[in-house]
Amino acid sequence: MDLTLSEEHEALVRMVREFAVREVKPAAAEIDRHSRFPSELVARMGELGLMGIEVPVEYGGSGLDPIAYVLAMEEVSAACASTGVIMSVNNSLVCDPLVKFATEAQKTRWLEPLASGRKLGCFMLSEPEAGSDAAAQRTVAVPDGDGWIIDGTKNWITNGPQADTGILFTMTDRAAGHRGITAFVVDLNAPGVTRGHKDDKLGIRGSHSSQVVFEGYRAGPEQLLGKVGEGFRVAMSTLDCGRIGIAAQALGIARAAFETAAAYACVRRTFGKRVIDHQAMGFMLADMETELEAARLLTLRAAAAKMAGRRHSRESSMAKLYASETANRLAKAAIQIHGGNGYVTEFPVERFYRDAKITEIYEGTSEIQRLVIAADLLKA
Amino acid sequence: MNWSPHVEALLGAVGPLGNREFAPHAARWDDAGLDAGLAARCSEWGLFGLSAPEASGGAGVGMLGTVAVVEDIAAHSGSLAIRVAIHEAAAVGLALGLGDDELLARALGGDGFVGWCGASRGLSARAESHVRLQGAARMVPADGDVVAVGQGPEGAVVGFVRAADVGARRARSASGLCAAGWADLELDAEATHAGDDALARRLSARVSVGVAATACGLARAAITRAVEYARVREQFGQAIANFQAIQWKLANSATERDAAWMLTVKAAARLDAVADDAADAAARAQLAAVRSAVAACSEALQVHGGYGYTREFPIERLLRDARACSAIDRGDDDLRAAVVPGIVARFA
Ligand SMILES: Cc1cc2nc3c(=O)[nH]c(=O)nc-3n(C[C@H](O)[C@H](O)[C@H](O)COP(=O)(O)OP(=O)(O)OC[C@H]3O[C@@H](n4cnc5c(N)ncnc54)[C@H](O)[C@@H]3O)c2cc1C
Repeated sequence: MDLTLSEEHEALVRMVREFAVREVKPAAAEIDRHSRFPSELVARMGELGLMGIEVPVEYGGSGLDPIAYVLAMEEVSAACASTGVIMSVNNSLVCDPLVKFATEAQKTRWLEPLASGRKLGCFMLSEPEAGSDAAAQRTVAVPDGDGWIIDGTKNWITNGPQADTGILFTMTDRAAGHRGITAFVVDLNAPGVTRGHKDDKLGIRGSHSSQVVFEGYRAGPEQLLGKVGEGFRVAMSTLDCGRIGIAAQALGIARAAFETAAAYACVRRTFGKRVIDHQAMGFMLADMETELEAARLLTLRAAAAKMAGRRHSRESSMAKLYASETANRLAKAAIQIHGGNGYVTEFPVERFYRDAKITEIYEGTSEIQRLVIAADLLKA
Repeated sequence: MNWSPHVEALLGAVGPLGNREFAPHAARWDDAGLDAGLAARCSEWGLFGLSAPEASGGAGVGMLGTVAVVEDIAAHSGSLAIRVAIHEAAAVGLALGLGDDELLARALGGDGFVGWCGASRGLSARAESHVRLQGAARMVPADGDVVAVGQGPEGAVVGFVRAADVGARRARSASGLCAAGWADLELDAEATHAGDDALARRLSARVSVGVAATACGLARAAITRAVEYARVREQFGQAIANFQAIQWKLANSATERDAAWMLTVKAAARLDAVADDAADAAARAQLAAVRSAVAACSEALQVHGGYGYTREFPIERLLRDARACSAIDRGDDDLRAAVVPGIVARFA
């Protein structure tokens, strides 16, 4: 088993870190404070090839592998988790299913603008009454001529207010349950689409999510993604990969929390010693680094499994579960290590704490990850 | 998990030993100690010298291959796994570190399992022309030759002491890894071979990944048993596997165990690469692996209910063995203390 990074990976990390440290990190507090969508950073990520990392070069992407994606996500998210999730949705929830399920014509039309960063994508699975139970879709697509008429409301859609293109899940045959779900790729600037107000949230405040409402939206046959009734498979296989991206986002937050806390503990003095020299604090940092490193390795393992073309639901769920819970533990510990300074917005750790929480919720809550892992362990 | 073809082949050869040679005896060894002559058989099976080059009669798979094999043995017998791990880490490690063929031949030979007195605070070392190790070591896995670390005036010294020179040795009964040959030693002996502070630290890191691999194997065995039991045990008219309270224990244990295993594999790879961060990586691996093994075995016992508490099932032994892993060489807090200076060095 080879856990060392290739030179290509090392070079990518250097490039993304330079961008993250110079351009993203200095803006992160302000983006958070004003809930500002960082359009300028999204444009830069497009230029740097970070919006379609795994998309083949001929479709406007960077043609890199899943490990490269994890490394880049960690760097960007360590600087700003909001920017990280904007990137992750475009990469793994939009480009990825297009690479996997789109026809040649669809790839040319939809994938190239997304992968090159000229357009932004979103993923529309959740509904007000269908979150963890994603099969309980109420959005309907009814055949109309050679196409479909779509009606329904999608909830909490990341990039919803800004996106040009979306992957949309609908119910085409209620009686068939999850085998009645069908996916489409849709133009969100077309008639029949309205977007709700952006959600006001605890964290990742620079990433905007909203409802997206479809009323009499007409989709042509060329917008069908995969086969009729195959939508649930499209969604689950997309999430298997997406969870690697969220694990990497969590990893970035966890790293930022650890590094900020370690640096603080080395300068802040109490009772005549550096904070880190108090055993309780030093040992807390030792545990933090151990968990951080474990989260990174589980995430890289999931990426390696994807790269090998194996089914990787268990690996992805373990990575997402462990990394997200690590991010939460570490952000909380980082506040503790900062004392009162951890609680005020002058220091970044309270933001890490608020941002970390979402990683235990979206793309399958921690409970859903445990269900996936347990089902995999228990399958005969 | 993708191993190199070389490690794959080795695992293919060692794998069948588990059910045939280890599992049937594990409970008896736990009660009565490892069979006399088992070290010789381990040598025949190729379990000694895993990390030694093929040219010197080893398997040439490094510490990476060593942790793969030790983890596999531990899933059947923790006591045997820890002896193989320590033998490889300490005896083979010392021979390789010194480039001493005679010592390597002895370590590969199967005369007995070599023990380890590592982070002991009771041993001092004096080096004039020869290294002399003096003092007491408590509760160490050591019933034959030993590799011991003593504190000298210029840092630690690591030395090899033949069984006959060890002196007073009092066997202790332990509650876990019972067959590992726990003893208190009073040492006052010339080391036949000795190494410096850097080698002492490297051997300690090798022991750590060996303990970590043992813990990971114990955890895997406990999880496998718990999964099997949850599928067949019925309560309230259904398999207990249907209850989320059970599923959560399994999912948490498996995730924590895999996290620890990845740390173990990484630490072994860093040792093979002779990297500067290998010692810290090894300490983190041991810390995470022992913690996850104790938790996984404890949860597996809970999944087994009252049966888990009896000796009819191997779970209570797995739990005792896992708990004992935290007493080998360095406890949790020693491990944490070992990694703090690295954090200070990077962030101060
Ligand atoms: C900021 C943000 C961005 C998001 N972005 C997107 C997006 O871009 N696209 C998209 O499609 N969705 C998105 N979501 C939706 C997100 O994926 C859902 O919120 C999530 O899947 C959980 O669904 P829910 O909120 O309806 O919770 P519910 O499903 O109502 O769950 C409530 C609680 O019950 C638990 N629970 C549910 N079922 C079980 C069970 N079987 N066993 C045990 N416990 C259970 C859950 O874990 C949770 O703790 C986003 C959400 C947020 C907050």
